[in-house]
Amino acid sequence: MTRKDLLGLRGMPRTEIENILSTAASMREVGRRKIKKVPTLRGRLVVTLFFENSTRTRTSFELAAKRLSADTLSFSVSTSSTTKGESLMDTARNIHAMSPDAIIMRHACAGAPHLLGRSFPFSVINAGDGINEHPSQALLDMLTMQDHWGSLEGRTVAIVGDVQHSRVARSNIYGLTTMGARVLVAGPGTMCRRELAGLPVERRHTIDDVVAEADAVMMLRIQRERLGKALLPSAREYAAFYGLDLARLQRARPEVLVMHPGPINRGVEIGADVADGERSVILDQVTNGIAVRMALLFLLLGGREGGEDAG
Amino acid sequence: MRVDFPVWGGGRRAAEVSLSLLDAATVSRLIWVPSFVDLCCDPGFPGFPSRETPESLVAAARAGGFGELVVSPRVDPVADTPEHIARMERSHVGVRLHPTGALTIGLRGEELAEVGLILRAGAVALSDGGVAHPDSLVLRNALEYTREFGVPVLLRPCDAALDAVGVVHDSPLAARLGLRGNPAATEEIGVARVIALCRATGAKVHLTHVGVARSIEAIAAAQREGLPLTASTPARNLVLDEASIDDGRYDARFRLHPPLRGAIDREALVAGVRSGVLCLSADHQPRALEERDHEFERAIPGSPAPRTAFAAALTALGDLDTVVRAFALAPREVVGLDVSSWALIDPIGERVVAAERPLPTDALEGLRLRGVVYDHVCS
Repeated sequence: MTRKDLLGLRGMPRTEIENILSTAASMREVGRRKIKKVPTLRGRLVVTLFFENSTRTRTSFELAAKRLSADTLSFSVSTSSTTKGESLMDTARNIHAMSPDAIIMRHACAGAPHLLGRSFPFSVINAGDGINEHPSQALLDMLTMQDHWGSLEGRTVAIVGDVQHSRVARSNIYGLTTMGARVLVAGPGTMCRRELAGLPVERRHTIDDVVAEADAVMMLRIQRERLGKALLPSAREYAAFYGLDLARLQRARPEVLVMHPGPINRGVEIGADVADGERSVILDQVTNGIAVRMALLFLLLGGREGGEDAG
Repeated sequence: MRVDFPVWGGGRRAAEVSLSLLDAATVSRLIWVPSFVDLCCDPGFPGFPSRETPESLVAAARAGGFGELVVSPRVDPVADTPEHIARMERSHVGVRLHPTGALTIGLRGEELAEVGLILRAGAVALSDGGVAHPDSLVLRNALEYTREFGVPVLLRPCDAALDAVGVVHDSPLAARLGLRGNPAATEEIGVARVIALCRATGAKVHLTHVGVARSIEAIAAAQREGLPLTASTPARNLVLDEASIDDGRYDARFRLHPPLRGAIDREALVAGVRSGVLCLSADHQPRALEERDHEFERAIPGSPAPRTAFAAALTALGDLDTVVRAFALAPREVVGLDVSSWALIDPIGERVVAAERPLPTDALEGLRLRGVVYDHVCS
């Protein structure tokens, strides 16, 4: 891979996504070994720089780096738009002084990784920037779907929930459509606004409209802090109109995949029996997350394509 | 050597030019025009020494052909007392600064400032400083009260709650970029409110920072109705729109408030200036490097303007007469100024807006614009 940074899937060519997914598929083999470690990135420094709380994305990236034998360093910076602390650029200058090879960052502002990417020589991987993108999540979602279907071409994926404020949704929309899939979205009017016409999606009014047509249904997490404000009246109203329960799932195609980026709110966006049911691939997504992140680190930090150096 | 150049509107006037620096073709194109007026100048002083100094502002204004700067009260401390206004130094070489007073104390939109004393101390107008005005009752009272003084009140039309949302124009592009949008309705509601209050009170109002197509229709209708309402848009809004942001960089130099609107809005602004519904401002909002070197959403919005505003206007409007009317004559009528300085300009020559490192950049950097200012004099 010739790019220095992974900032998003918007505009990423199909061949590049295919290369990441095929490299990730080969990386999965490392996780099945008794000794789950290869020396590929020995001596390289990978820093996780998270300005927002995260458990699974961060640990997934750290585990990916460790399996490739990279050194890892973890920075947690709790900050909010009202906190006047050190600026992002100053934080990055400090980390740069430690000579990292890659920084994996999550930040509340769209474009924050783009700013570091063009300002510093290290590789930047976007692990979520505001409501913009979360490319590694979309790549692991696509890998999970590809495992079941062989190809994403011609498939229909429904994304349900707070599409407007979801970086997971945005990256999936860009990635899936580049790979030839069709994306349907549905959600409350405040979370699925008409402006989504700017994205390559078909907007539908109800969850039933999208579930019936979909090969995969991706339920987005409803953020509790949005409840009770003018965006959404209550969790039970959301569950009634947009939650995926067994009754709704029965109207879907029998082979439909149920996905969720986690962490899930059982009984809100997804029923417990659906989350744990046979159509759910939620835990496969987690396993694939490590493989995708290994592939990204491997490709960005100079490994050869296709994963043949991995072993 | 001294050369006579034509004056816009008739006559000739001499200027000292170094012919070695100019080719004969350029010299033949030069013309004196009344200096330009910035109705929305947010200076970096007092209070923000890292943004600019009086000297750097005056130098930028002279270089850009600006002779009159109508200065916002949004400085630190806010210019909300007659003492603030009286302290301000007005005359600089070739450039006059005209203070406006805060309409409300601290620009908070709660209590009226001493507007009568502020005007007596020399303010040319009253202003909300571009700060959203949440309370329509206070605004109504403020307009009732100021009507008797006969000066314009400069207001940025917006709905305060909607105005607090979003960093780019709310549109399909904002959805693609993953940035929160500030809807056009923010401004449309603000314009409708001001028109209603203007009609109810009879106060003279000048709307600043107009950027939305539907606002222009509403303003034009109010003007036809005979309301004492004028309006302006920043000159950069005639050449930039939201598409400028879509370069994958999330570059903070396009962080402006109100945000750059859509292409349809930009075209409507150009038409609105041509038809005389709108005049122009430079909308000078200098920023220090440490205010710009941030994530797009966290950068302090604003861009310096005087050096590039005339060329932006001429490039978009294409016609020098329209630019002179919209940028020199109409703004003088708004605040009641005479023509006391002139700029020598080349209306054909083009230049690429250069970076001024290490200063934060003008939103227009990198664009090729038509119109070059060569000299500036007071009469």
